[in-house]
Amino acid sequence: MYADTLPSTAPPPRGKSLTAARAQHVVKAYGSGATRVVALDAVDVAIERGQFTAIMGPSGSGKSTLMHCLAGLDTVTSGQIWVDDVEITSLPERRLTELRRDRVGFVFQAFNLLPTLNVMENITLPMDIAGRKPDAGWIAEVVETVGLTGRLKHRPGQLSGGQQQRVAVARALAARPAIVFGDEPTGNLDSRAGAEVLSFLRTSVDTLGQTIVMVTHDPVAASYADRVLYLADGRVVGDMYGPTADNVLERMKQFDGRGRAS
Amino acid sequence: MTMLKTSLRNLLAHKGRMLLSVIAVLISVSFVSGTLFYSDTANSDARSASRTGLPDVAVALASKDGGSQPLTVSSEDVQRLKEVTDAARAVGRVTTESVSFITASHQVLNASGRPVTATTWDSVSRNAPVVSKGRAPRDASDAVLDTETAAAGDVEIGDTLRVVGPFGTSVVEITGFTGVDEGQTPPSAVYLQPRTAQRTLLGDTGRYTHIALTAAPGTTPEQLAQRVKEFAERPYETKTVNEAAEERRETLAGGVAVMKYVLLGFAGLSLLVGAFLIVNTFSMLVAQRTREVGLLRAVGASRRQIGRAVLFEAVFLGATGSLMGVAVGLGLAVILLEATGTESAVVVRPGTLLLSLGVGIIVTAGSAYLPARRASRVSPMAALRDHGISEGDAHGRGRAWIGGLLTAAGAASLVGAGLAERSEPGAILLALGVVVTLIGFIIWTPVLARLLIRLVSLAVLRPFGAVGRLAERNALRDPRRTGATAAALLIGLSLVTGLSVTGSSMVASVEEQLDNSTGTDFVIEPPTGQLINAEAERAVKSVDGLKTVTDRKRLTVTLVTPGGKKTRSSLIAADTSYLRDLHVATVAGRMTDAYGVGGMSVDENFAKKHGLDVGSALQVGLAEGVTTQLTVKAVTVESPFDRGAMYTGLPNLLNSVPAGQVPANDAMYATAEDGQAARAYSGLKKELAAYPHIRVRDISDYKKSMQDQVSEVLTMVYGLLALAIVVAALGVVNTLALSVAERSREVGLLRAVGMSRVQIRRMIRLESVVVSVFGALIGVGLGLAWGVTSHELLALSGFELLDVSWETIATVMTGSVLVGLLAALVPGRRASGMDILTAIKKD
Repeated sequence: MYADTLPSTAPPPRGKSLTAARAQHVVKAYGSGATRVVALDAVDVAIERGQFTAIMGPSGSGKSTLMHCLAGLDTVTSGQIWVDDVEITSLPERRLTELRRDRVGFVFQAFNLLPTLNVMENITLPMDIAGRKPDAGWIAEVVETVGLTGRLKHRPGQLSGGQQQRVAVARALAARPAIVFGDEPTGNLDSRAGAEVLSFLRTSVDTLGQTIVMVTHDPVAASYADRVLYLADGRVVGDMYGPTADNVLERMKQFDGRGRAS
Repeated sequence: MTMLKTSLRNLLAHKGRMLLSVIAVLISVSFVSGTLFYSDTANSDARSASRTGLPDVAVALASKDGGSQPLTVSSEDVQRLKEVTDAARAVGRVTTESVSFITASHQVLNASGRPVTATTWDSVSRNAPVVSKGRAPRDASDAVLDTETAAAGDVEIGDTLRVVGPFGTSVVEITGFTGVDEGQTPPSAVYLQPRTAQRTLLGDTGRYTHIALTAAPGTTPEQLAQRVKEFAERPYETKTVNEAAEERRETLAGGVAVMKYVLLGFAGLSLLVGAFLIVNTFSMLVAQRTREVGLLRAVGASRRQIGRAVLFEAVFLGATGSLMGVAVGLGLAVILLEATGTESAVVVRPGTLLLSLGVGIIVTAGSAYLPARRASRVSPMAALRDHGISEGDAHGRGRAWIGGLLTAAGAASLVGAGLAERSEPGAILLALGVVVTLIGFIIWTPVLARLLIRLVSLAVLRPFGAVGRLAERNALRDPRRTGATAAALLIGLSLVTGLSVTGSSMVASVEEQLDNSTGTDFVIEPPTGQLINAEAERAVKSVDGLKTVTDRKRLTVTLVTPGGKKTRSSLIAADTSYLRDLHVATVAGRMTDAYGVGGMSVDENFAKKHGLDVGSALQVGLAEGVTTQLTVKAVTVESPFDRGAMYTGLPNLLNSVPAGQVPANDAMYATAEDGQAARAYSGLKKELAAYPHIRVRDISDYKKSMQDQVSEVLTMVYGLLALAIVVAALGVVNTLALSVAERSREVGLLRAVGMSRVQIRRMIRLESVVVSVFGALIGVGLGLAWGVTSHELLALSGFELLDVSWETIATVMTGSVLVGLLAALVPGRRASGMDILTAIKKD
């Protein structure tokens, strides 16, 4: 398939492999017998460190399921997943929670923030939960990067949708996770706010060396990524480096056509 | 129709969420209906109180002077009255309740708590008792009694019964039982032969306490009574059969009525607490359904339709809870009836059924009214918005003002009560203050929540880091909701605290008085209203090892003050040794002088009221026709013992009242020779074994039985308050469960960013504990204020010591933590068990 053939843009941290997350023969099926639905059908994927990867595919292609499995939010039926060199499919629930807390960051489409906490508290939430002291310098840098300085005491309700998503990005980055997962992070935003959030993600990859995986159905969003993985019917059906909005769109049409033809 | 369908579907969809509301309605309604069923049944018993033994007209002498002996009439009086009034029959009778019956097994006979009357056997007057088993009494030693009392005391025909009256003891043999018609409550009475009754109860043969007149045909009892009144020779007072029957009914119903109102009061409390739960439930359901309501509005449902749909849900919920409540209430009534020894089938009146259902439905619908109105105001735009509505101005200024003003008014009333110089206006101020501060605080809790929850959190949540902070924020998120939850809890807890302070202050004060002002070793007391007859008195005095024995007699006397005012009062005439048995502090004069020849004492309040001082002379009617002059030699301080009593030396009584009119002792006190206390105590118990109705206690037993009495009452009240507290605890569970459901996305998010299940549970638990502790803090604070105020009032009656039962307060606070922990169990488990993905995806 397409795994392990990619050029690396940044050297991996010492003692770590080149991949931030890896799926091997991952199957996710619901139900059994005649009603068995396969959401992921023996997927092999490697997410490289320091890269911005987009996962695309039509509705029901399994792209969200793949992300949830990679992020340790969902369990797999069979196969193995490594996140930051930890095999997570066999981890007990408690360890999985800790892994999400300490090594993974999330940006969801909506409802990313706790309304009772202010911006700063939301950003440091994962570390607060862990009982760790956040690295003040780093937090300041992240906050600065996403342009939230001056709004730290605001409650989420006082922010616009775009600002809220930026807070979510800041939170995802704050704990210096090995990997950040975005589940259609710009899905609810207008194009300007969306562009802002995406460029922050891009910046964090370029200047902070952050690894990001993002599920999207928006070719423009995907064009911010280094690489686009295409899923259809629970399988990886395409892999594109250096995408532009146009060729992503072109590729999507192709798959759609093929999907309809088959 | 469609709206109705929507309502029903909503109910079914949310039946889990309605469960606790239904239970709250159920509990409250079951208590209301149980109480009503019980009182209906007991009242119908009372209504059919038997007329057995009630003559057409009962005639007795009206007392004009003092005296503690019943006034009696002679056989000639009976005969004369018959002639003057043209009655068909006139029978002299002796009747008294100042008597105890001791069964062969040394038990005191009583009819499920009601006193047993001794009366003479009269089979000729109207409504005469009828022997239903055995035979009527013939000899002086024969007696019959009613079937129910016999059953209560395990008395069989042929058994002997000791009749202990003020003037002696007789032994009688039971020859038969009297019965009444099915469904009637008989008067609990033992019927004696006249000679026996006269000897034992009056100490004088040939005399009667009253005359039973039977009207001749064509004369009504009322006409007959009129003739008696017109007969001027003697100052007779009359009671017709109807008046007497009404009196009996009232006596029977009186106890029931008190119990009914007490129970209804507690039921009302739990209903009030339940209302908070229902308000919260509907507020939260409405908030959750905002988008749905917005959609309905957008597609054309009117405001009224929306409001009505919510109210319909409430009515349905209220009806369901009430129906189940009535069923449970029937069970409660059966238990209550059994506990009080009433063996009738439960009376179910349609009115009671309707009332119980109505109360449940109206309270539920009333509680849902505000949320329904809020629902009707949801704009169609809400359907398009992402999140639920905020629940309005939760800490509105109006609320703060009203709550603050009411609290201030209530506090002023409490202060007024505390400063009151007399008990009655003080008590009214206290009651007013309690009610108004309670309402004030209920309105105020949401405002207080912001401040107090922060304080509680500072103290409690600090060690819990982010989890603690989230718990605090969640508790503060909707102050109105938190306030209502805590207010429900504070109602029960404030009452518990207030009563415990009052109760323990009373006990502590009396104990202190016992320690400081009693010199007696033993207290010998018959039941209230009865006396220690000469035989029992001799038995006491025969005990070895006693240094002093005090005779104490209580008389009802008439007093004429120097100003010419005539009043009735209670006067204690005792041996001088009583001064050492019970020290009485004086404001003026010396008690030894009051006990001297021609002396007496009056208490402070009486002296103030009538302008008396040491040296004032009073005309004292000691007995019928016996008036003597006594001089005030001492003015006493109010004390919890012998409340408001006046004292005089026994010789002052014995020197002026003929021997036959001197009452027996109403209590006796004794001190032991040095080192003989134990022997004397056991000697007293042994000698008085034949008089089980007379209690002998040494000081430590006396204290203990007093503590027991108070704690028994408190336990009962706490038990009833527990009902309100349980409903309030359900309210905490309810609020938590609903808000967890409401916040499922937040929980999902927290889990996704790495909060463990344990931490989620802890977060819910801490929120729950903080809210409970908040409610308990206000409750305890309020209760303390009430308790201290009521103590100030009690101090006026000599209960001067303030004793705050810290154990009770510690228990209340610990209990509130426990309530919080328990309440969080199910909601916490549900939250921590939530699947992350569904929690996130849910919209």
